[in-house]
Amino acid sequence: MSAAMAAHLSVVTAQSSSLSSARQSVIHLYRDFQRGVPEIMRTHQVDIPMSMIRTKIREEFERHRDVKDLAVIDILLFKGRQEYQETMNAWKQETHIMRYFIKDDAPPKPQGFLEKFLAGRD
Amino acid sequence: MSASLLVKQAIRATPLMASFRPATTSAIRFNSTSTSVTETREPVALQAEIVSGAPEEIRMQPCRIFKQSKASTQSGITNTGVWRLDFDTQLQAGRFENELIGWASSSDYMQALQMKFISKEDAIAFADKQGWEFTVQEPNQKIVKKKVYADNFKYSPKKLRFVKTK
Repeated sequence: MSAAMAAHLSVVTAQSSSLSSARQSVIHLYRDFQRGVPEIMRTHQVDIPMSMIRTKIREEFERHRDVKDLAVIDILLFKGRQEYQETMNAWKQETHIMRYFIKDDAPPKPQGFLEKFLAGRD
Repeated sequence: MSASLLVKQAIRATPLMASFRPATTSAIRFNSTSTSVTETREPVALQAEIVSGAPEEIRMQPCRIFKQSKASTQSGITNTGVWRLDFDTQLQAGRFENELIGWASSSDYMQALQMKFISKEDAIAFADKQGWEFTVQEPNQKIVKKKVYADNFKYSPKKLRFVKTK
């Protein structure tokens, strides 16, 4: 593992001076993700349609839409960049990609007394 | 490194309060309920609830900040000095029996968490920073009544406390 390999797709940690510059960085990251979706599908060979991956990326970004604190945004940017680097460099495997979708595919939790009793759960 | 040390690095000198939080959380915002803290405070520098990576459901689990009471059966005061943070036991905690061995398991990941803090403000700051819904339980202050042997012999215009006939 050369140093060049470790540095591929790495960026300097963001220290946003204003909300608008932070917003720009976030949009750049979002675009990088969306542009990289075909490569993700080719590299990781996940059986998820492209539209679902794009929707999932959008969902992850929408989750923190209302964050206004610059320090928090910088940390989120760092984490996002980290995820991007790990995904595009194939440091993540298919299972890590699937973890984003696990909550969508999880079986419904047992509800009501009888279902919980039969499942052996509280 | 203990959590209290980490919190002390972030704590401010201004008096602390529970219920104000800046508008940084997106979906759900909970006002931490406390029984006795009344002053207002500025928001902490960095709300860790967004970046901590903890699942969002944790914001709905109430936790308690309290001081352990002294064992009433003994006069020792061990463990009563620190402030503790503990999550309430959930009614529906997803308890199940382990399939292999039969161990009593639970899907509640906070049930075994016990944190200790040196002061109440540290605990409040930590819980607030993490976005947990907390209550502060003030410890019962034992009222120590001074007993003096000479009081047995004090003059009293009313009925005597003890009647010494000997």
